[in-house]
Amino acid sequence: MFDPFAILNINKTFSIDLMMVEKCYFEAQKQIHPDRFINASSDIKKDAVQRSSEVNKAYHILKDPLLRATFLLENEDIKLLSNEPLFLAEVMAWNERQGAGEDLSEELKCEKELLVKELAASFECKDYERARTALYKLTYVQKVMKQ
Amino acid sequence: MLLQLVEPGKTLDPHAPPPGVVVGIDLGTTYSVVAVVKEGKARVLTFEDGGPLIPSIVSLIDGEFKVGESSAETLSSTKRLMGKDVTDPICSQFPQLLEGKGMRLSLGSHSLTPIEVAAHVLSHLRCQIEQTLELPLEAAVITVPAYFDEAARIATKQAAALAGIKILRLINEPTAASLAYGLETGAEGIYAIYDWGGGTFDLSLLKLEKGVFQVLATGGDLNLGGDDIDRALFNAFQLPDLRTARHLKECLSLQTSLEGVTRDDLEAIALPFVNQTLSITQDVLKQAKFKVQDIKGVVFVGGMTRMPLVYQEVETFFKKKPLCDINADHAVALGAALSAHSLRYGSDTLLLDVTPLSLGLEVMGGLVEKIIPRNTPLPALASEEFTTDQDGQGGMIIHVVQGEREFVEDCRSLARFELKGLPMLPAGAARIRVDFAVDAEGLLTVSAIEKSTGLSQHVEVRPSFGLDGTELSQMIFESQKYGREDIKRRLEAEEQLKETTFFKKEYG
Repeated sequence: MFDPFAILNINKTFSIDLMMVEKCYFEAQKQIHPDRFINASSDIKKDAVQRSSEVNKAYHILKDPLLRATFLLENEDIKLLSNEPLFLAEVMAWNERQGAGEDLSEELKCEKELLVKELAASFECKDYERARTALYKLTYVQKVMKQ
Repeated sequence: MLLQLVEPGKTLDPHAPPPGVVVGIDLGTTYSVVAVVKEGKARVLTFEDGGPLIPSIVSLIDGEFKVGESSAETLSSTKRLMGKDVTDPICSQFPQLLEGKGMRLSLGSHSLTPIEVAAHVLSHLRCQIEQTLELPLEAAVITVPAYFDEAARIATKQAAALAGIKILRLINEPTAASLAYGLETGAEGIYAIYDWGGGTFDLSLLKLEKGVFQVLATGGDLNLGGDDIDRALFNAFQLPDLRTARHLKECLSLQTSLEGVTRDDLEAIALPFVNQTLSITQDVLKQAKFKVQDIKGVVFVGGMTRMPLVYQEVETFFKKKPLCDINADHAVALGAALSAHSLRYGSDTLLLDVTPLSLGLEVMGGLVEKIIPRNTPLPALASEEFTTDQDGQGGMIIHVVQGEREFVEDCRSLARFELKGLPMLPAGAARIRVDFAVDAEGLLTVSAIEKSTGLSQHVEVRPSFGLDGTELSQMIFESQKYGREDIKRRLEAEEQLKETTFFKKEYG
C-alpha cells in the first residue's frame, strides 16, 4: 500500500509539523527529481519520474488534513462513514444560506479548524470512531467551502 | 548566493563528447534572447549583428531566408501559431496562411510551417552563438510560455530538432524569470511573476526558499499579448501597418503624445487588455488559496510591463510596487541559462513546476473526466479504471484531452487510440486501467492495460502534432541551407525526438 508517511520519512500520526513535512519534501525532491538525471539512461530517468511523482503525491496527501486522516483510517482498516443524517441537515442549512448570497467563508473556516482539532484529539487517543465522524463532517464542510 | 555551482568539469562524464557550451534561449514571440553562464554569472549574449534582442522574424531577402531583418516578405509573431490547428481563431491574424494546405504560411514563392519558422530562428541563433563564443553549441534550455499546451511544447521541441539543437529541457518562462530574480536578489517567500510579452500573458505564483523554486499555481492566456494592443491601435487610428502601431505604443511609454495620438488614447485602448491580465491573476490567486496580502512581491517580466498603465494597475491590484530589479527583456533568457548550467554541471537549485492545464479522458456523453487537474506538481502519475458498457465489447476508444472545460468538444484533443482485442466479457466485467504520466517538462505519456483476465495488453501513446515522422525527415533532407555535418546532427536530434515523441506500440 502507498504510504505517504514512509515516503517522506515522517512519523505516522495525524498531528504533524507541516514545516517539517515541507522540508522533507524539498530534501527528497533534491535527491530524486528527474532534473538530477538529465544525462542518465532512460531506465534511470523513468525510475526518477516514478519516484519523484510518488514524493509529490505523498506531499499532497500529508499537507491536507482530510487526505491525511483518510489515509490513517484506511491504514487501520477502518471503513469511512458514508451517511450521518443529523449532520446533513446542517449542511443543507449552509447551502441554503450560501445560495441566498450569504458569505460563509469565515464561519466555515472556523468549523474546519474545529474539526481538524477534533481529528487530532481523536487520533491522539486512538478513538477511530470519533475520528471517522469528524472526517465525514470535514468532507462536507470542504464541499460547501468549494461552492 | 543560493546557488552552489560545481566547478565545471568536476561532474563530467568521462565518455561525454568534448565540451561545448550550454545556453539558455528565450524564443519569444517578438524577440529571442540568448544567455550563458560565465564564471558563475548569467549574461545575455550580444551578437555582432544587432545585440541581445534578435527579432523572431524570418524574411526573404534576395531569395534567401534571413532571420532578424525585415523586408517586404516577412513572417513575424508565428510563435502564436505553434501547436495550433487551422481552425484556431488566432489564424485570422495571419493573412499569409495558405488556404487548404494545413498550417503553412507563404513567404515569397516558399511556404513554411510555424515550426519551420521557429527552426530558422533557432538555427540562426545557433550560428550566432557558435561564432560569438567560438565553441560548438552542446545543448540548450529553451523556454516556453507556462500556459503552452502539449501540442505547442512538442512543436517547440520539433523546431529545435530541425535546427540541430539538443534540448536539455523545456522550462516555463515565468519559472525561468523567477530563477534569475531569486538567484540575483536572494529573495525568499511567495512571489508572483507577472510575465506579459508580445504574444502571451502568464502569471505564476512561486515559493522561493533556499535554492528551491516551487511553482504553486500558474495561469495565463496564449492569445493576450502586446500584439493584440498593436492591432487594436492599428484599427482605431487606421495606421499604415502593425509595425507603426507597435512603434507608437512603445514610444508612448516614454512620451505623452506622438503623431496626434496621446498616451490617454493608447491607455483607453489598452485598459481592457490590462484588466484581462488582472482577472487571470485573480483566478490564479484563488486557485492557490492566496490573498494579495500574502504575496511578498510582484516581479515584472516581458516588454508589456514597460507600459506605465500596466505598472499603475498592477500596483493598485497588489497594493505594492511591482519589482523591476531585473531587465524585463533579459530575465527569461538569464534564468534559462542558469537552468542549463545547473542541469549540465549539477547544482543545489531545484525547480518544481506544475501542469498549466488539466488532463483528462473522454467518457460517456462527450464529457471529460479529469485525471490530472491543473496545477498538479510535476512529475505526476495518475490512473483511472474503466469498464465496457456492452456485452462482448471487443475494443475501446481512449481519447485524451487537455483543458478546463466539461465537454470534450471544448477541450484540446491530444491523442485518440483504440484498445483492441479485449476478452469477450459481459458489460461491466472488463477492467481497463488508463495510466497518465507527465514528466518534469510537462510532456504526457498515456498507457492502457486490460487486466480482468490476467492477460495484459499495453498500448503507449505520446501525442504527436503538426508533422508526422516521414514529413519531418523529408524536411530534413530537402533543406538545402545546411551542410552535411548539420544534417548529421539534426538526424541525431530527430532520432532523439522520435524516441520521446512519436507513437510507440508494445504488446506483451
